[in-house]
Amino acid sequence: MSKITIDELMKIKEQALKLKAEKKAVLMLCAGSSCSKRDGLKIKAIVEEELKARGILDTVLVGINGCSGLCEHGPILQIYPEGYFYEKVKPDYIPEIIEEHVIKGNIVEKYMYNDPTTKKPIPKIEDIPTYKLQSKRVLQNRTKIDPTSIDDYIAQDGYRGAIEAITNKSPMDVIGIIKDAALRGRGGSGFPTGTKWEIAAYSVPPANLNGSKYVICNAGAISRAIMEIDPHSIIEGMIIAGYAIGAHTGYIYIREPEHKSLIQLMEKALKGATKYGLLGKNILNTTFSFNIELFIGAGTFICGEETALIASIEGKRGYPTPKPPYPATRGLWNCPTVVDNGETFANVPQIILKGAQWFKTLGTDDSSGTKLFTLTGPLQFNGLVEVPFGVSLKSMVYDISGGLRKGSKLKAVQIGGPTGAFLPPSSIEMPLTYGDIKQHESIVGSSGIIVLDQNTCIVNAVRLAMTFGVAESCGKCVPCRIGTTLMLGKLTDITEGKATENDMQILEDIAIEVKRTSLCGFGRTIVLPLLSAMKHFKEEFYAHIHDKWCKAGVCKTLSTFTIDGQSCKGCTSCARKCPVSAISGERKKPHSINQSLCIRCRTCYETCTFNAIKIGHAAWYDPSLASAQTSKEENQ
Amino acid sequence: MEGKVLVVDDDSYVIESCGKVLVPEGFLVRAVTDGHEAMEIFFCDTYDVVFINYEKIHNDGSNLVRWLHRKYPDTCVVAVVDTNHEFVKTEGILDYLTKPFSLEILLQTTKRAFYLSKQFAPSIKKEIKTAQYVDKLGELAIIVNKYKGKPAMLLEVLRQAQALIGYLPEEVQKIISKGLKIPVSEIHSVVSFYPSFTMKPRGRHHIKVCMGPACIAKKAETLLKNLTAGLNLQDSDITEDMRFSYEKVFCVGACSDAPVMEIDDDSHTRVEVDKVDEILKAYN
Ligand SMILES: Cc1cc2nc3c(=O)[nH]c(=O)nc-3n(C[C@H](O)[C@H](O)[C@H](O)COP(=O)(O)O)c2cc1C
Ligand code: FES
Repeated sequence: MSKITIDELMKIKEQALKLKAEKKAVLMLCAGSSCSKRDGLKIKAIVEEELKARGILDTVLVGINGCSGLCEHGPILQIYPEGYFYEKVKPDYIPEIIEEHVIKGNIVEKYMYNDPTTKKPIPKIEDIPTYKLQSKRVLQNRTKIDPTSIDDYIAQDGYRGAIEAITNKSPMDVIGIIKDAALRGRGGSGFPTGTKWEIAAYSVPPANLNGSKYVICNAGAISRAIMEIDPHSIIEGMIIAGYAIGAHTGYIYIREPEHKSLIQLMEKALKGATKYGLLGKNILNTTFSFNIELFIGAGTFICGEETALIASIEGKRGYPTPKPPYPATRGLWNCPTVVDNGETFANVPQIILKGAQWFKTLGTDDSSGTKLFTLTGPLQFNGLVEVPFGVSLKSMVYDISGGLRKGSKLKAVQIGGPTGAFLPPSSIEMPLTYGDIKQHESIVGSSGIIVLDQNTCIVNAVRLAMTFGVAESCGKCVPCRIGTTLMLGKLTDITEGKATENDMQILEDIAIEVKRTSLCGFGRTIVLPLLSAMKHFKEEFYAHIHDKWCKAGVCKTLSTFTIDGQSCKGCTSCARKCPVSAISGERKKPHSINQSLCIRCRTCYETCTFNAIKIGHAAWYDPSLASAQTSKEENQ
Repeated sequence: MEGKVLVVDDDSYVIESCGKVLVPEGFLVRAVTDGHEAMEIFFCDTYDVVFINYEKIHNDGSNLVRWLHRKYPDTCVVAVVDTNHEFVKTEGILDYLTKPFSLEILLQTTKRAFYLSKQFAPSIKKEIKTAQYVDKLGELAIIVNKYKGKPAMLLEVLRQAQALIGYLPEEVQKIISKGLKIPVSEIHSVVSFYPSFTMKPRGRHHIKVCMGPACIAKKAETLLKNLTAGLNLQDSDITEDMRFSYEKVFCVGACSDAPVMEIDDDSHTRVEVDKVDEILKAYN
């Protein structure tokens, strides 16, 4: 196909919109991974069959969209033009929905989502409380477009940012706008993107290497979610970056070769963009040429670090290298290279199209725009959310995610993914910005927010974080490789009740030293869970060390489960669930646990609805430890 | 393509097809029907590829195969067998051609065998001729050939090789080393670094259980316990019937959908930890 012109692009847009407008209705099925698992795609076939049986298949368009973010309510079926949706759709709902909604235009309330508090149906996804509080920028096309269709993207003004940049602006203008917008890297470190691009734009590739410049999309967890919803937004951002710095080649680095469906999706998206001439030689009949290739890695967390990622593309071990030189001056094949997170790229097209001032209307002075986070834990809502920077952690946990589930009490929040710090409930007012997160000694990292409740033992959580450190430390630098192993040893001792007070000091010393001397960001951040927990949850460490008491009942050698005779109603449910039959007692009479059989699996504790199971220190069962136990007898 | 092919068979169909397909492609083809005759020919001239119907021909075909393996390790021996032939891996045989075959298959097999005979130094060939995955080597040669002399494509080659054979044993690494011109030590260092590569065979279905923080917060530990109990795995990470193998991984990047378990190329998100068995049922 010849090079696309702007007019042609507008024509594609009009056609795509017209196609939808001409139809009586557009039915969109969620094809996110969770909905697909629940037969979301089988339902698509059923819908089509049903429409065919009624002879209205040509007046209705049936499409798919990427994850709508309502995984617990899937499969989701949306019907446009109104944009109403049905949740938990089952095959036998289809005839009724089509008859009533599509043909007669009456909504079928009983299959709709109900507001958990008012119990009234909410017909539109946007009106669900958690969605109302979110912003829609990077995810503006969520639930609206089919990720496999480039026309759908163009219909939503896709690629207009790239066209605007390439045809109307000089590379320096583009960099200027990005700098004005104060866009900061979403991949964790928050480095100003405009500055990074400027450095790369002014850097000269080594001539003897037949040098060129490169743009790399570092596709971690959040980028993956964006790709599944709106892959072209990342491609468009990369084109603009390529134009700005003068690169001709881009790579999208996908770390996990197992993500076949994602890889296929991206291949298709790249093919589509190439077919329209938005990638390739002389884009839009200008002198600018740019190509993007997929690079499939081979696992391992460290390959998210930019220098390690570059080594991996060069076909080597994914070892990080010391910085400077930064990739922006000496990166892939020693050439200037911009490595950015997919979310950073996805922000770029809209900044170019709508301007830096528009971009700054959301967020704070320090951190402009919006940020995607993944929320996990005992919350009403788990999943991907987009919020403006500056939203408080509190509103994240209690409003956007709908608060904790019944029976859960907030104990700690881990911000920043596997290497982020544990923060106590007292930090909950903290606004989410780069500056504030840093001040709380955590990182934006991979943008995970994990909420932990009273069922979590912080010491054990830190130990698990350190297991991650031991497994994923690449082994190049000594402090990180040996330090993580030593710290894990000490932490395991604490959870097994073998540690002394001295070990706390040793742990802290090692952690500080690892943080100070490690080669790359991995070693510098892997100690954050430990350091933060030792600061905010000191008592819990001491309860393990002195009292031999894991109050959450997670560390097996440091807890005893007993039944409080006064609260026990004798409902027998714990006795039935106990895997080793250690619980005995008559119906309607208080039960008891045979301590020599108990394996401390916590099943009874989680089963009991009367709060009758108490977690005691190890000495409650093992008298040899009793001497260590003083008067601190408190129930949880 | 220039190469020399010897056909040792008394089936005129085989001989004629070889002539018809291979000669136009530039191969020199010669046919004999007797094992001794084949040996005599080899005394004067060597061949790159030998097709042998070793169970049918006169004068001990198996002996001929052994003799060639010993004396001419550079030659690639392809056994011509009947459809109902039971597949037994025999020392010295690198590939099989099942009768009846289409002319296209014949050409493909010959080209593959030709690659193999040219590609590898004798020392490696001796090792690989006895390997378990001998029937896959032809395809491996094609992969390696495609990326010949491009060391930067190492990860891609390893990935494709592993997809083909299932794991990356030492000999395969040696083959890749020759093709891409990278020291074996370096290849080994890459293979041992990345978690997706393995030097041990895996089960037919490989399970990855995420043990990252988000998944742990969502009971990944119980999931793992249920999984290993359900598969009756105590210390080993692979079931006896080779149906499943598993490993623990740290954060697969799907934290919003924790807990996550990946089986082959499917990722199972928001797994209900008590229903692991049901998920496994779909994999045989
Ligand atoms: C251990 C480690 C893992 C990282 N993982 C990722 C990742 O998965 N995705 C990502 O974009 N950046 C990751 N980074 C940050 C990158 O090194 C780099 O800063 C980032 O890609 C720059 O992009 P940005 O400017 O858009 O943030 C990681 C850094 C470290 C130290
Ligand atoms: S912790 Fe399991 S996917 Fe991130």
